[in-house]
Amino acid sequence: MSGLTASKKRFPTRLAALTLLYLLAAPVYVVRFFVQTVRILARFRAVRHGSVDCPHCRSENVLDMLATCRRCGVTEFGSRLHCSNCGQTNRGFACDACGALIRVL
Amino acid sequence: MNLLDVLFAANRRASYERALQHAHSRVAVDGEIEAYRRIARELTPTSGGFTFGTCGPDADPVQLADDTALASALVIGASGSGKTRFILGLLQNAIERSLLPGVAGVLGVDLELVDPKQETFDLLSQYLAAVWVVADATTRERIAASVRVIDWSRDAVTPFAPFDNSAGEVSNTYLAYLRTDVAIQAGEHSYSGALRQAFFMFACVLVERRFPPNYRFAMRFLEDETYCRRILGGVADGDVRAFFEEAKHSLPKQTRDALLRRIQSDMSFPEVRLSVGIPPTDLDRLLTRRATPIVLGNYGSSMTLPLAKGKERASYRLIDVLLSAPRRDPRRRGLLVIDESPMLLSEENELTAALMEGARTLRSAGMGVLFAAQDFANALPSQIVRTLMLNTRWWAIFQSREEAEWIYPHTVRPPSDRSDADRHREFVRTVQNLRRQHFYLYVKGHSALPLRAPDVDDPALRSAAELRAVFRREIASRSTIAARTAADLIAKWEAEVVDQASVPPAPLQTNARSPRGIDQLMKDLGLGK
Repeated sequence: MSGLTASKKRFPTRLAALTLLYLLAAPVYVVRFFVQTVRILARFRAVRHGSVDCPHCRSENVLDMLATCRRCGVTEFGSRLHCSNCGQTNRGFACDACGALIRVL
Repeated sequence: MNLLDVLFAANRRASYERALQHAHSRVAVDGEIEAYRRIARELTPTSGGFTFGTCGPDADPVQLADDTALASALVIGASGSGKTRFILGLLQNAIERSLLPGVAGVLGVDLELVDPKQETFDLLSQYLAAVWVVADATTRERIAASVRVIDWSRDAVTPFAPFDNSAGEVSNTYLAYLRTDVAIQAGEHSYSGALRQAFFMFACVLVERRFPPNYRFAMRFLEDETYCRRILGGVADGDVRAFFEEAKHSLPKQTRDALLRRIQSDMSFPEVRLSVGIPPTDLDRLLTRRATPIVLGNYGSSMTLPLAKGKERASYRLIDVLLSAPRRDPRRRGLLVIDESPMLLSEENELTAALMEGARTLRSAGMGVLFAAQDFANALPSQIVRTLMLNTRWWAIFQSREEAEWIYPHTVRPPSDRSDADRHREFVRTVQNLRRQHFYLYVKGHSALPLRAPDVDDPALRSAAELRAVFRREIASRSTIAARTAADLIAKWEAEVVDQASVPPAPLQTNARSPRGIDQLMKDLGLGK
């Protein structure tokens, strides 16, 4: 009984400490979130544009086509980087002309 | 669900439509490639022909039949787009037919290269030297005997008699008129009406007497009245005689001085003086005037002469070629290649008129004119551009903008959802950014075909300097003479004609003109007074 009371007594202290910890870490997470969001939005411009140039051979690669998901095997008209069936997102793909990896996201 | 899922979900509709459009366009591209294959099959003859390049992903070779390949044509493209190499490939093809045994072609091809830029001439001379180096003795002799080189340097020049009408293809007066017009148009000097007339009359005297242009002769002829009368004694044209006999009235002192200044200016460059100053009679003796199937003309100034001098000489040569073309054997094909042609066509003059006429009519003489340039649409007057477009059989369009508009109506356009304006814009952009060696070939009667020009390998056997030396020594030396010999001949002629009190009679001209009336006939027969 006394142990439970002691635990109950320590709870506010632990909560306060945890809150303080989160508050201290918050700026780091907020900054990281914004940086990642900005980066993703910037990289997503290529997806919106519909094509990307290979940095190695300069040939144009379309992103929207009749693509088959390598995870679930569903074939659909859409982006080759994302499967609407299983939600799989690929950050890059092999260039159609030279086969080198092109990182998009 | 993370941010990427949200973004992809938001973009799904647009993505789907683009993917569909892409699938449709791939079907269209496949249709386009099939259409190109069909055109290439239509153009390629069953045997022989000139290789123009390869087409499509499988690099199918495309050839044109001789009649089409050697017809009048335009080759247009920006600097560095592969235009010169394409022309070189075509010329090599023609040379192989003319020189090398065992190559298809019943009759060879006559080839004339007019290069005011020197680049094509230089590359072609290296190619000929490379062929000569590996050939056997008989082929070497055939190459050397078949090629005539028109070139000038400080050491050796190709002699040329601009005022010699021994071939008699036109009247003396018309030849003098053509030479005067070309000299005036090519030069950077301004000419008044009186000076132009004086120049023309002086040219008439040179043609009638079969004299070379010479400053010392001109000075004595215009300054010394007695000498002038003696020279005019051998001039048949009464009007020309009267003009100079009445010089006090017809030729004011200022005009005479201006004429002398022009002649002095023209003759002050040793390369020019030595090449045009040799008397035509000596030329008959020095060089056998045989017809060679290949004539390579270098009219580039190489930064050693004013540009106008090269232009003037190229114009003289072109006029000679055009004048003699109607008399050639039409069964033997001929090709006149004019590189950087706007340099010679930019003004409307006698040469331009003759070339336009040639583009229209030389087909009947079995000859075609290939005009090459970086830009026709902006460099030439619209009238000339239109004439060239109408009278040429095929166009090879390398990187260019305005000329892309010319071939857009002739392109293969499979059905598409996109508007014609969009496709037009994209086509112009495509032609503007064509890779090196890639071009659109439009043969009239067919759709335009995207091609890759054949590779023209550099002769790897010897260095360029060595090949140039071989070309000069073994091939060009037959049509050039040493500068010292030329200077000696000119000095000898001046001593005989200019410095002597009595003037030798005019050499006989091979073109026998019909006598003008019974008095002239009696005089010619030595029976008249």
